[in-house]
Amino acid sequence: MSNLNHFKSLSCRILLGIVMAGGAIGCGAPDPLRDLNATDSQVFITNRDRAADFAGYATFSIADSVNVVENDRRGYSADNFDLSLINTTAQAMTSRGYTRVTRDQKPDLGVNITYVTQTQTGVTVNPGLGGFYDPFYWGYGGAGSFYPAYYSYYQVSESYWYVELLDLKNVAQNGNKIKTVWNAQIRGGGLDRDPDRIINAVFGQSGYLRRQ
Amino acid sequence: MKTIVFLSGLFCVLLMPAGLLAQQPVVPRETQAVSPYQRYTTYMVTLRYGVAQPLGGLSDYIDQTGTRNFALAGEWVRPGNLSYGAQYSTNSFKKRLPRQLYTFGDGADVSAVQTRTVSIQSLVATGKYHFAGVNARTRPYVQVGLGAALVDYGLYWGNLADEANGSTVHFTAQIAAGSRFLFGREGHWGADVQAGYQYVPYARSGISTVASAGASVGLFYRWW
Repeated sequence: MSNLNHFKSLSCRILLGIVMAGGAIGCGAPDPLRDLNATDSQVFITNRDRAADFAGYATFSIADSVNVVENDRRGYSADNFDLSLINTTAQAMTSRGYTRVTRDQKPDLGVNITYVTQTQTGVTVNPGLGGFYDPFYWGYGGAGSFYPAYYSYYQVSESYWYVELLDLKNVAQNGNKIKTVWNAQIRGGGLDRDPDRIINAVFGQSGYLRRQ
Repeated sequence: MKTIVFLSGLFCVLLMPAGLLAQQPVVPRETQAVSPYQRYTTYMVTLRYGVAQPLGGLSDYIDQTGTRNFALAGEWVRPGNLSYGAQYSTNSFKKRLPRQLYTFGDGADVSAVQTRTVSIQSLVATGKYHFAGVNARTRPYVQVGLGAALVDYGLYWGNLADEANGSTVHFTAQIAAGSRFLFGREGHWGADVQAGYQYVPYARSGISTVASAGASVGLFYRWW
Protein backbone atom coordinates (compact mmCIF):
# COMPACT_ATOMS: atom_id res chain seq x y z
CA MET A 1 0.00 0.00 0.00
CA SER A 2 1.61 3.30 -1.06
CA ASN A 3 1.63 6.20 1.35
CA LEU A 4 -0.54 8.30 -0.95
CA ASN A 5 -3.28 5.71 -1.11
CA HIS A 6 -2.89 5.28 2.57
CA PHE A 7 -3.81 8.92 3.27
CA LYS A 8 -6.72 8.81 0.83
CA SER A 9 -8.29 5.79 2.44
CA LEU A 10 -11.64 5.91 4.19
CA SER A 11 -10.14 4.90 7.52
CA CYS A 12 -7.65 7.71 7.28
CA ARG A 13 -10.39 10.25 6.71
CA ILE A 14 -12.38 8.85 9.60
CA LEU A 15 -9.32 9.09 11.83
CA LEU A 16 -8.77 12.76 10.97
CA GLY A 17 -12.50 13.48 11.25
CA ILE A 18 -12.62 12.12 14.78
CA VAL A 19 -9.69 14.25 15.96
CA MET A 20 -11.19 17.39 14.39
CA ALA A 21 -14.61 16.67 15.89
CA GLY A 22 -12.94 16.32 19.27
CA GLY A 23 -11.35 19.73 18.78
CA ALA A 24 -14.69 21.33 17.95
CA ILE A 25 -16.33 19.86 21.05
CA GLY A 26 -13.45 20.90 23.27
CA CYS A 27 -13.86 24.58 22.33
CA GLY A 28 -16.96 25.02 24.49
CA ALA A 29 -15.34 25.89 27.84
CA PRO A 30 -17.68 26.44 30.80
CA ASP A 31 -18.26 29.92 32.19
CA PRO A 32 -15.64 30.36 34.95
CA LEU A 33 -17.99 32.63 36.90
CA ARG A 34 -21.08 30.45 36.94
CA ASP A 35 -20.43 29.48 40.57
CA LEU A 36 -19.85 33.05 41.72
CA ASN A 37 -22.62 34.34 44.01
CA ALA A 38 -23.88 37.92 43.94
CA THR A 39 -21.95 39.02 47.03
CA ASP A 40 -18.69 37.58 45.74
CA SER A 41 -19.27 39.19 42.36
CA GLN A 42 -19.16 42.66 43.93
CA VAL A 43 -16.09 44.78 43.32
CA PHE A 44 -15.28 47.86 45.37
CA ILE A 45 -12.92 50.25 43.65
CA THR A 46 -11.72 53.45 45.27
CA ASN A 47 -9.46 56.13 43.83
CA ARG A 48 -8.06 59.13 45.63
CA ASP A 49 -6.17 62.27 44.79
CA ARG A 50 -2.81 61.55 46.39
CA ALA A 51 -2.17 65.28 46.78
CA ALA A 52 -5.37 65.86 48.77
CA ASP A 53 -5.14 66.49 52.50
CA PHE A 54 -8.24 64.72 53.79
CA ALA A 55 -7.59 65.96 57.33
CA GLY A 56 -7.84 69.51 56.04
CA TYR A 57 -11.57 69.31 55.37
CA ALA A 58 -14.01 69.87 58.20
CA THR A 59 -17.54 69.88 56.83
CA PHE A 60 -19.48 68.11 54.15
CA SER A 61 -22.86 68.18 52.58
CA ILE A 62 -24.58 65.38 50.77
CA ALA A 63 -26.99 65.68 47.90
CA ASP A 64 -30.59 64.89 48.82
CA SER A 65 -31.14 62.62 45.85
CA VAL A 66 -29.20 60.20 43.72
CA ASN A 67 -28.12 61.02 40.19
CA VAL A 68 -29.22 58.49 37.66
CA VAL A 69 -27.13 58.31 34.52
CA GLU A 70 -28.07 55.94 31.77
CA ASN A 71 -25.75 56.36 28.85
CA ASP A 72 -26.45 59.95 27.77
CA ARG A 73 -29.64 60.43 29.79
CA ARG A 74 -29.59 61.91 33.26
CA GLY A 75 -32.12 62.26 36.02
CA TYR A 76 -32.57 62.17 39.78
CA SER A 77 -34.04 59.57 42.05
CA ALA A 78 -34.88 59.43 45.75
CA ASP A 79 -36.60 56.14 46.49
CA ASN A 80 -36.22 54.31 49.79
CA PHE A 81 -33.06 52.50 48.76
CA ASP A 82 -31.52 55.71 47.44
CA LEU A 83 -32.29 57.50 50.70
CA SER A 84 -30.79 54.70 52.79
CA LEU A 85 -27.61 54.89 50.68
CA ILE A 86 -27.48 58.65 51.25
CA ASN A 87 -28.00 58.23 55.01
CA THR A 88 -25.41 55.47 55.32
CA THR A 89 -22.89 57.54 53.43
CA ALA A 90 -23.55 60.55 55.62
CA GLN A 91 -23.09 58.40 58.73
CA ALA A 92 -19.81 57.07 57.38
CA MET A 93 -18.56 60.61 56.81
CA THR A 94 -19.69 61.70 60.26
CA SER A 95 -17.95 58.74 61.88
CA ARG A 96 -14.73 59.88 60.14
CA GLY A 97 -14.88 63.18 61.93
CA TYR A 98 -16.54 65.36 59.32
CA THR A 99 -19.48 67.57 60.24
CA ARG A 100 -22.58 67.48 58.12
CA VAL A 101 -23.90 70.88 57.09
CA THR A 102 -26.41 72.09 54.56
CA ARG A 103 -25.10 73.02 51.19
CA ASP A 104 -25.70 76.74 51.70
CA GLN A 105 -23.31 76.65 54.69
CA LYS A 106 -20.31 76.43 52.35
CA PRO A 107 -19.27 72.82 53.00
CA ASP A 108 -15.65 71.84 52.39
CA LEU A 109 -16.68 68.61 50.70
CA GLY A 110 -19.64 67.74 48.55
CA VAL A 111 -20.76 64.12 48.50
CA ASN A 112 -22.44 62.95 45.34
CA ILE A 113 -23.95 59.53 44.66
CA THR A 114 -24.73 58.37 41.15
CA TYR A 115 -26.30 55.23 39.73
CA VAL A 116 -24.69 54.61 36.37
CA THR A 117 -25.98 52.27 33.72
CA GLN A 118 -23.71 51.69 30.77
CA THR A 119 -24.98 49.42 28.09
CA GLN A 120 -22.04 49.70 25.72
CA THR A 121 -19.67 46.81 25.86
CA GLY A 122 -15.93 47.08 25.58
CA VAL A 123 -15.93 50.76 26.48
CA THR A 124 -13.48 51.95 29.08
CA VAL A 125 -15.26 54.35 31.39
CA ASN A 126 -12.43 56.73 32.24
CA PRO A 127 -11.36 59.38 31.52
CA GLY A 128 -14.98 60.09 30.58
CA LEU A 129 -16.16 58.99 34.02
CA GLY A 130 -17.01 61.52 36.67
CA GLY A 131 -18.28 65.04 36.68
CA PHE A 132 -21.82 63.79 37.23
CA TYR A 133 -22.42 66.48 39.81
CA ASP A 134 -24.20 69.74 39.04
CA PRO A 135 -21.97 72.79 39.82
CA PHE A 136 -25.08 74.93 40.30
CA TYR A 137 -26.33 72.60 43.00
CA TRP A 138 -23.13 73.10 44.96
CA GLY A 139 -23.28 76.86 44.55
CA TYR A 140 -20.41 77.12 42.06
CA GLY A 141 -22.41 77.65 38.94
CA GLY A 142 -19.58 79.18 36.99
CA ALA A 143 -17.04 76.54 37.88
CA GLY A 144 -15.72 74.08 35.39
CA SER A 145 -14.77 70.49 36.14
CA PHE A 146 -11.30 69.32 36.93
CA TYR A 147 -10.98 65.62 36.73
CA PRO A 148 -7.67 63.96 37.60
CA ALA A 149 -6.48 60.96 35.63
CA TYR A 150 -8.41 58.39 37.61
CA TYR A 151 -8.98 55.35 35.59
CA SER A 152 -10.93 52.17 35.64
CA TYR A 153 -9.35 48.83 34.89
CA TYR A 154 -12.40 47.20 33.49
CA GLN A 155 -14.71 47.07 30.57
CA VAL A 156 -18.28 48.12 31.16
CA SER A 157 -21.68 46.74 30.34
CA GLU A 158 -23.45 47.06 33.65
CA SER A 159 -25.06 49.20 36.30
CA TYR A 160 -23.10 50.37 39.28
CA TRP A 161 -22.97 52.89 42.09
CA TYR A 162 -20.54 55.75 41.91
CA VAL A 163 -19.78 57.86 44.97
CA GLU A 164 -17.54 60.92 44.75
CA LEU A 165 -16.19 63.54 47.11
CA LEU A 166 -15.89 67.02 45.64
CA ASP A 167 -13.41 69.56 46.93
CA LEU A 168 -15.56 72.67 47.41
CA LYS A 169 -13.06 74.24 49.80
CA ASN A 170 -10.37 74.88 47.22
CA VAL A 171 -12.36 75.74 44.11
CA ALA A 172 -10.57 79.07 43.71
CA GLN A 173 -7.13 77.54 44.33
CA ASN A 174 -7.87 74.87 41.76
CA GLY A 175 -8.40 77.42 39.03
CA ASN A 176 -12.14 77.78 39.65
CA LYS A 177 -12.64 74.07 39.18
CA ILE A 178 -14.34 71.51 41.35
CA LYS A 179 -11.91 68.69 41.90
CA THR A 180 -12.99 65.16 42.68
CA VAL A 181 -10.63 64.09 45.47
CA TRP A 182 -12.06 60.63 46.07
CA ASN A 183 -14.37 58.31 44.25
CA ALA A 184 -15.76 54.85 44.74
CA GLN A 185 -17.23 52.47 42.23
CA ILE A 186 -19.43 49.71 43.60
CA ARG A 187 -19.91 47.10 40.92
CA GLY A 188 -21.09 43.57 40.47
CA GLY A 189 -24.35 41.83 41.31
CA GLY A 190 -26.88 42.35 44.09
CA LEU A 191 -26.41 46.12 44.28
CA ASP A 192 -30.08 46.71 45.08
CA ARG A 193 -29.85 45.47 48.65
CA ASP A 194 -27.77 45.82 51.79
CA PRO A 195 -26.77 49.51 51.43
CA ASP A 196 -24.90 49.53 54.76
CA ARG A 197 -22.56 46.76 53.69
CA ILE A 198 -21.66 48.21 50.30
CA ILE A 199 -21.11 51.77 51.58
CA ASN A 200 -19.11 50.59 54.59
CA ALA A 201 -16.98 48.45 52.27
CA VAL A 202 -15.75 51.43 50.25
CA PHE A 203 -15.20 53.62 53.30
CA GLY A 204 -13.59 50.72 55.14
CA GLN A 205 -10.90 50.31 52.50
CA SER A 206 -10.15 54.08 52.53
CA GLY A 207 -8.47 54.50 55.89
CA TYR A 208 -6.89 57.81 54.83
CA LEU A 209 -10.36 59.38 54.55
CA ARG A 210 -10.49 60.88 58.02
CA ARG A 211 -10.42 64.28 59.71
CA GLN A 212 -7.55 64.25 62.22
CA MET B 1 -19.05 14.37 34.12
CA LYS B 2 -21.64 15.19 31.49
CA THR B 3 -18.87 16.08 29.08
CA ILE B 4 -17.17 12.72 29.60
CA VAL B 5 -20.38 10.80 28.95
CA PHE B 6 -21.06 12.91 25.87
CA LEU B 7 -17.57 12.47 24.47
CA SER B 8 -17.62 8.72 25.10
CA GLY B 9 -21.00 8.43 23.36
CA LEU B 10 -19.80 10.41 20.38
CA PHE B 11 -16.66 8.31 20.23
CA CYS B 12 -18.70 5.10 19.99
CA VAL B 13 -21.13 6.50 17.43
CA LEU B 14 -18.29 7.68 15.21
CA LEU B 15 -16.51 4.39 15.40
CA MET B 16 -19.40 2.11 14.53
CA PRO B 17 -19.51 2.91 10.83
CA ALA B 18 -15.72 2.90 10.76
CA GLY B 19 -15.67 -0.74 11.73
CA LEU B 20 -18.37 -1.62 9.22
CA LEU B 21 -16.93 0.34 6.32
CA ALA B 22 -13.23 -0.42 6.72
CA GLN B 23 -12.11 -2.24 3.65
CA GLN B 24 -10.72 -5.65 4.41
CA PRO B 25 -7.42 -6.26 2.60
CA VAL B 26 -7.31 -9.40 0.52
CA VAL B 27 -5.07 -11.72 2.48
CA PRO B 28 -3.42 -14.54 0.53
CA ARG B 29 -4.29 -17.95 2.00
CA GLU B 30 -0.68 -18.81 2.85
CA THR B 31 -0.20 -15.69 5.03
CA GLN B 32 -3.52 -15.70 6.87
CA ALA B 33 -1.89 -16.87 10.06
CA VAL B 34 -0.10 -13.53 10.44
CA SER B 35 -2.17 -10.75 12.05
CA PRO B 36 -2.98 -7.79 9.79
CA TYR B 37 -1.66 -5.53 12.55
CA GLN B 38 1.73 -7.11 11.96
CA ARG B 39 1.52 -6.75 8.20
CA TYR B 40 -0.03 -3.35 7.52
CA THR B 41 -0.11 0.16 8.87
CA THR B 42 -3.28 0.16 10.94
CA TYR B 43 -5.38 2.80 12.64
CA MET B 44 -6.02 3.69 16.24
CA VAL B 45 -7.99 6.38 18.07
CA THR B 46 -7.63 7.06 21.76
CA LEU B 47 -9.80 9.16 24.05
CA ARG B 48 -8.17 10.19 27.29
CA TYR B 49 -9.18 11.94 30.50
CA GLY B 50 -6.73 13.19 33.08
CA VAL B 51 -5.60 15.55 35.78
CA ALA B 52 -2.68 17.96 35.60
CA GLN B 53 -0.62 20.05 37.97
CA PRO B 54 0.56 23.52 36.88
CA LEU B 55 4.33 23.99 36.86
CA GLY B 56 6.77 26.83 36.24
CA GLY B 57 5.37 30.31 35.76
CA LEU B 58 1.84 29.00 35.52
CA SER B 59 1.99 27.69 39.08
CA ASP B 60 2.63 31.24 40.35
CA TYR B 61 -0.71 32.27 38.86
CA ILE B 62 -2.71 29.10 39.51
CA ASP B 63 -1.41 26.39 41.83
CA GLN B 64 -4.53 24.25 41.81
CA THR B 65 -4.66 20.85 40.07
CA GLY B 66 -6.70 20.93 36.89
CA THR B 67 -9.32 18.22 36.63
CA ARG B 68 -10.77 19.03 33.23
CA ASN B 69 -8.26 17.60 30.80
CA PHE B 70 -9.23 15.65 27.72
CA ALA B 71 -7.30 14.38 24.75
CA LEU B 72 -8.30 12.72 21.51
CA ALA B 73 -5.58 11.12 19.41
CA GLY B 74 -5.58 9.45 16.02
CA GLU B 75 -2.63 7.32 14.97
CA TRP B 76 -1.25 5.30 12.13
CA VAL B 77 0.35 2.28 13.75
CA ARG B 78 3.26 0.75 11.87
CA PRO B 79 3.80 -3.02 12.11
CA GLY B 80 7.12 -2.42 13.90
CA ASN B 81 7.70 -0.22 16.91
CA LEU B 82 6.60 3.17 15.61
CA SER B 83 3.35 5.02 15.27
CA TYR B 84 2.55 8.60 14.28
CA GLY B 85 -0.51 10.78 14.24
CA ALA B 86 -2.23 13.85 15.59
CA GLN B 87 -3.59 14.72 19.00
CA TYR B 88 -6.03 17.36 20.15
CA SER B 89 -6.01 18.08 23.86
CA THR B 90 -7.60 20.57 26.19
CA ASN B 91 -6.33 21.45 29.67
CA SER B 92 -8.15 23.82 31.99
CA PHE B 93 -6.93 25.40 35.21
CA LYS B 94 -8.90 27.60 37.55
CA LYS B 95 -8.37 29.19 40.92
CA ARG B 96 -10.66 31.35 43.02
CA LEU B 97 -9.09 33.62 45.63
CA PRO B 98 -11.13 34.85 48.60
CA ARG B 99 -11.93 38.55 48.82
CA GLN B 100 -8.80 40.65 49.19
CA LEU B 101 -7.84 44.28 48.92
CA TYR B 102 -5.47 45.00 46.04
CA THR B 103 -3.61 48.29 46.35
CA PHE B 104 -2.25 50.05 43.30
CA GLY B 105 0.49 52.64 43.39
CA ASP B 106 -1.59 55.48 42.00
CA GLY B 107 -4.02 55.67 44.92
CA ALA B 108 -6.46 53.04 43.74
CA ASP B 109 -7.67 50.22 45.97
CA VAL B 110 -9.74 47.35 44.67
CA SER B 111 -11.53 44.85 46.87
CA ALA B 112 -12.61 41.77 44.96
CA VAL B 113 -12.89 38.01 44.77
CA GLN B 114 -10.47 37.03 42.02
CA THR B 115 -11.08 34.19 39.62
CA ARG B 116 -8.07 33.09 37.59
CA THR B 117 -8.31 30.78 34.62
CA VAL B 118 -5.92 29.41 32.02
CA SER B 119 -7.00 26.95 29.39
CA ILE B 120 -4.80 25.41 26.74
CA GLN B 121 -6.08 23.77 23.60
CA SER B 122 -3.37 22.16 21.58
CA LEU B 123 -3.08 20.33 18.30
CA VAL B 124 0.17 18.45 17.90
CA ALA B 125 1.75 15.97 15.55
CA THR B 126 2.81 12.94 17.56
CA GLY B 127 5.38 10.19 17.22
CA LYS B 128 5.54 7.13 19.42
CA TYR B 129 8.11 4.44 20.00
CA HIS B 130 6.80 1.20 21.49
CA PHE B 131 8.81 -1.27 23.52
CA ALA B 132 6.76 -4.34 22.58
CA GLY B 133 5.17 -5.87 19.51
CA VAL B 134 2.04 -4.53 17.93
CA ASN B 135 -0.15 -7.29 19.34
CA ALA B 136 1.43 -7.44 22.79
CA ARG B 137 -1.18 -7.28 25.55
CA THR B 138 0.96 -4.70 27.40
CA ARG B 139 2.73 -2.28 25.12
CA PRO B 140 4.78 0.47 26.86
CA TYR B 141 5.74 3.51 24.84
CA VAL B 142 7.31 6.95 24.85
CA GLN B 143 5.76 9.78 22.88
CA VAL B 144 6.73 13.24 21.66
CA GLY B 145 4.40 15.87 20.29
CA LEU B 146 5.06 19.20 18.57
CA GLY B 147 2.45 21.69 17.46
CA ALA B 148 0.42 24.74 18.31
CA ALA B 149 -1.44 25.71 21.47
CA LEU B 150 -4.24 28.23 21.91
CA VAL B 151 -3.75 29.65 25.41
CA ASP B 152 -6.72 31.47 26.89
CA TYR B 153 -5.83 33.72 29.83
CA GLY B 154 -8.58 34.85 32.19
CA LEU B 155 -8.55 37.17 35.19
CA TYR B 156 -11.84 38.23 36.74
CA TRP B 157 -12.36 40.77 39.51
CA GLY B 158 -15.72 39.72 40.87
CA ASN B 159 -17.76 39.44 37.70
CA LEU B 160 -15.65 41.94 35.79
CA ALA B 161 -13.24 40.71 33.16
CA ASP B 162 -9.75 42.19 33.18
CA GLU B 163 -8.74 43.97 30.00
CA ALA B 164 -5.74 41.63 29.61
CA ASN B 165 -8.03 38.63 29.02
CA GLY B 166 -7.73 36.90 25.70
CA SER B 167 -6.38 34.05 23.61
CA THR B 168 -3.08 33.76 21.85
CA VAL B 169 -1.45 31.01 19.79
CA HIS B 170 1.92 29.60 20.79
CA PHE B 171 4.28 26.77 20.00
CA THR B 172 3.97 23.75 22.27
CA ALA B 173 6.02 20.63 22.97
CA GLN B 174 4.78 17.56 24.79
CA ILE B 175 6.50 14.45 26.03
CA ALA B 176 4.81 11.43 27.53
CA ALA B 177 5.40 7.87 28.62
CA GLY B 178 2.75 5.25 29.07
CA SER B 179 1.43 1.91 28.16
CA ARG B 180 -1.55 0.54 26.36
CA PHE B 181 -3.28 -2.65 27.42
CA LEU B 182 -5.11 -4.67 24.80
CA PHE B 183 -8.32 -6.26 26.10
CA GLY B 184 -8.08 -9.26 23.74
CA ARG B 185 -5.06 -10.67 21.93
CA GLU B 186 -6.22 -9.71 18.44
CA GLY B 187 -8.90 -7.34 19.70
CA HIS B 188 -9.91 -3.85 18.73
CA TRP B 189 -10.32 -2.33 22.16
CA GLY B 190 -7.94 -1.52 24.96
CA ALA B 191 -6.98 0.82 27.77
CA ASP B 192 -4.25 3.43 27.82
CA VAL B 193 -2.40 4.91 30.81
CA GLN B 194 -0.08 7.85 30.34
CA ALA B 195 1.98 10.41 32.25
CA GLY B 196 3.09 13.49 30.40
CA TYR B 197 4.53 16.97 30.44
CA GLN B 198 3.42 19.92 28.36
CA TYR B 199 5.43 23.07 27.75
CA VAL B 200 4.27 26.33 26.20
CA PRO B 201 6.61 29.35 26.06
CA TYR B 202 4.04 31.99 26.98
CA ALA B 203 5.49 35.16 28.60
CA ARG B 204 2.32 37.28 28.82
CA SER B 205 0.32 38.88 31.62
CA GLY B 206 3.02 38.18 34.17
CA ILE B 207 3.17 34.44 33.43
CA SER B 208 6.58 33.34 32.19
CA THR B 209 5.77 29.83 30.97
CA VAL B 210 2.69 27.65 30.83
CA ALA B 211 3.77 24.15 31.78
CA SER B 212 2.05 21.25 33.43
CA ALA B 213 2.59 17.63 34.32
CA GLY B 214 -0.34 15.28 34.18
CA ALA B 215 -1.58 11.74 34.26
CA SER B 216 -4.41 10.32 32.22
CA VAL B 217 -6.32 7.16 31.50
CA GLY B 218 -7.95 6.41 28.19
CA LEU B 219 -9.76 4.00 25.98
CA PHE B 220 -8.56 3.13 22.50
CA TYR B 221 -9.98 1.45 19.46
CA ARG B 222 -7.82 0.08 16.66
CA TRP B 223 -8.78 -1.27 13.29
CA TRP B 224 -7.39 -2.09 9.88
